[in-house]
Amino acid sequence: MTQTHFDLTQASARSTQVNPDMDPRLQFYVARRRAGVVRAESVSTAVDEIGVVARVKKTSSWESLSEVREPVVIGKTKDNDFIVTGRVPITRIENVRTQSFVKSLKAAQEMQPDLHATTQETAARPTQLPAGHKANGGDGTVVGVIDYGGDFAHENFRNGDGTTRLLSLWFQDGPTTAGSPFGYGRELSAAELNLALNQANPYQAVGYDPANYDSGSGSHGTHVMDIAGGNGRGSGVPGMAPNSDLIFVNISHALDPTGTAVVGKSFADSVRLLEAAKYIFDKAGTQPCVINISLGTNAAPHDGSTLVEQGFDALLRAAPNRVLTISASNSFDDGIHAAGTVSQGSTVDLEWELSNLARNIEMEIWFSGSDRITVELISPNGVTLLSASPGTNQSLTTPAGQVAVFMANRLNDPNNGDNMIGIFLSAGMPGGSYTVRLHGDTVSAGDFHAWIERDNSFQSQFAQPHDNSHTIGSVSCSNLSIAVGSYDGHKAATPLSFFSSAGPTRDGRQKPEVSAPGHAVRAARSSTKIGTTLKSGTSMAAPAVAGLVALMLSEARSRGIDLDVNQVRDILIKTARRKPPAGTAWHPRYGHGRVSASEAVAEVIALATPPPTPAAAATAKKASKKKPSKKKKRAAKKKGRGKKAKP
Amino acid sequence: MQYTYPRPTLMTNSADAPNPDHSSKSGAGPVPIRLDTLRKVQSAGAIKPGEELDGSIEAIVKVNRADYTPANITVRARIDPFLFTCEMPADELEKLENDPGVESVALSQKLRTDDNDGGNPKQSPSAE
Repeated sequence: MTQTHFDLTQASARSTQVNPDMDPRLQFYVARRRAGVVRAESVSTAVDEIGVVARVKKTSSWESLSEVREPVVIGKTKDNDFIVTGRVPITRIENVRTQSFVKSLKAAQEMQPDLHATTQETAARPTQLPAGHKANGGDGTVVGVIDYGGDFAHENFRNGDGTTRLLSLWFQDGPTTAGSPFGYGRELSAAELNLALNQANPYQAVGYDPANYDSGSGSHGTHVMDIAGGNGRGSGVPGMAPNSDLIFVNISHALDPTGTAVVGKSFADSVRLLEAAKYIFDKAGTQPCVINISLGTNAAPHDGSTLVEQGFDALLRAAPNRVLTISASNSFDDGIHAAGTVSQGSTVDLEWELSNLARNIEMEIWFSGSDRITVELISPNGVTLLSASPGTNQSLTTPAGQVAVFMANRLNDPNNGDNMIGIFLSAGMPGGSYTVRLHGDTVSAGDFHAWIERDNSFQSQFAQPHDNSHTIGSVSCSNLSIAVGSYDGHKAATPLSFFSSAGPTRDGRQKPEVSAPGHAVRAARSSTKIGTTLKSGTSMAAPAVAGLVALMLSEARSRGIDLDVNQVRDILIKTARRKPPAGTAWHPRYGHGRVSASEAVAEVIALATPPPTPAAAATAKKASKKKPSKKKKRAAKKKGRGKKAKP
Repeated sequence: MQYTYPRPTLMTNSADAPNPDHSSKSGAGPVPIRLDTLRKVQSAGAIKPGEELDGSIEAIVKVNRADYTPANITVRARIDPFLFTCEMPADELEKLENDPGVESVALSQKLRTDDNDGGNPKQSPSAE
């Protein structure tokens, strides 16, 4: 690689015209900005924005400054000033610094957050667990991860002798062999992984390379697995359940032979997701097992009735000591949900805002099976493009036969009996604000919920104001899985992550159940053996709870008791910490509160401590009867004294 | 390519219900997808425009009799007595539709990772 050097022979000194009274680092950023250098977006700051720490006289003045994004009050100084933080556009730094109430302004030091923030904040470190606990880092429990890019060669997933901690790894997109689980993909046993780890290039040795699933900051699955069960052997910082056994399934996303996703064929893939969960529970056998899933979408009935969610419930019901944690989703602020009520004979309009479409997008509207609603799609210039009455579908096609718009007004979904309107706009549709008009033909309930399907690179939205409730993920609504929201575990106030989706489910159940640190989490980075990387998301919160559950299951197993998924959920909810969230009621984003490993493990210990048996209780009672009462004691004492007085 | 409206042609499936008079600026014609023939297929994420199902598809099937397996279907994973996954030719869907032992069928639905960086892997499918 060639190194580019400055040519200083042509360089000249010049005044920066930057306020010299400011923090030198801030001066540097301002000077660079004036020279045309645009600061890149980071995990916590937007483009051309910088994190700052300030000392101010009034917090309300700081919070009301329009330049300050995400203001946070840290605390009070001895001089009755306040320490505050925020994100400020670099172009406005000097303006902020010269405000009369700002006594000091400094650039935030780059943080080095790591998994300590997750394990400590949730009180999961061994020293934070109850005295005499037997959780032993999740020893004996299987942590299963269904994701992309599990780096089996990272030191955090290896034992002290260098052997793998993985019981197996199934990459569903691998070559099919005679022993492939469910007839596809390649399963790598621990023995095969150990053989590969002795090769110069272990990835090549088994034909599975997490680098193929790396979007630029390390693969998602490696990061997730480290949070739940990494042992810190490489990175120096263990995850939640560092002694657990691991199973990784690299979920596949089958494409058709031409390389394009085809309607009706596998995407990334709910059928294979269910098979992955079945595979992990089967592999774990009688070992306690918790599976983490940090995947999802937006479009679904959000009532737990889809067959993949029914499948999760069936697997969890089948045996005790099985738990499934799942991310709540990151769609809170995306404007992807709308809800309302249609009355008979009236209409309700939803405004769907999009730019010129380079990709297909879709919306689903769910409502009671007893209602009949006609849907009409109106273009930004007021032309009715399509209208579909109950039980019909319609499409708008180009002269070349391409479907530009498709609408299906479907009655009686086979899983929940509800009706669903699906609207699809194809790549090539002009941007603008489209109106989705709902006509109440025959209405008894009238309530509806609409979701725009997720698109990580281009997300169309409903018009403001957004209804951000019910933004929980599509496969996060099953009855027995545990959905997890995200907050920032690095800050004393543990604020919610701005992205963390909200419940409840469409049928009114309280999900997410709990929340955990998922903001700016530093954990294992694939293809580095020992390195780490930062990621944010409910993807990072759910595995923290998975690791915590592994501690609970190990504690229970070592004390000879079983826990079913409902007991685990009840304990997580009962021991969740408040403030935040305020009050005692379920919170749509924090759930019942922030998980506590120490309290949850203590609860398991209490559950395992047997109450006295009837025989033991009777013996104790008898013993207490034999014990002389205070009255008798006094009498005996008196008698004794009397005796003593006689001689 | 970018479409302009209202140049495209309206295609409608009005076999079950008359086309309501909410739209007045388009023509009418048949479409290849007949949802009324696939009422057992789960709605969520499955109803797509334009292309007919062909080749092999993957599905989750719910049946109403314990351990029942419809004819010509090879179970891939038995989740519980009433639920299994399978891969089958697309035209088997119509047979499942007419099979009284089958309660519902879910086709594959695409999923994405829940990290806030949009960090789906290089190999994951685009949204089509």
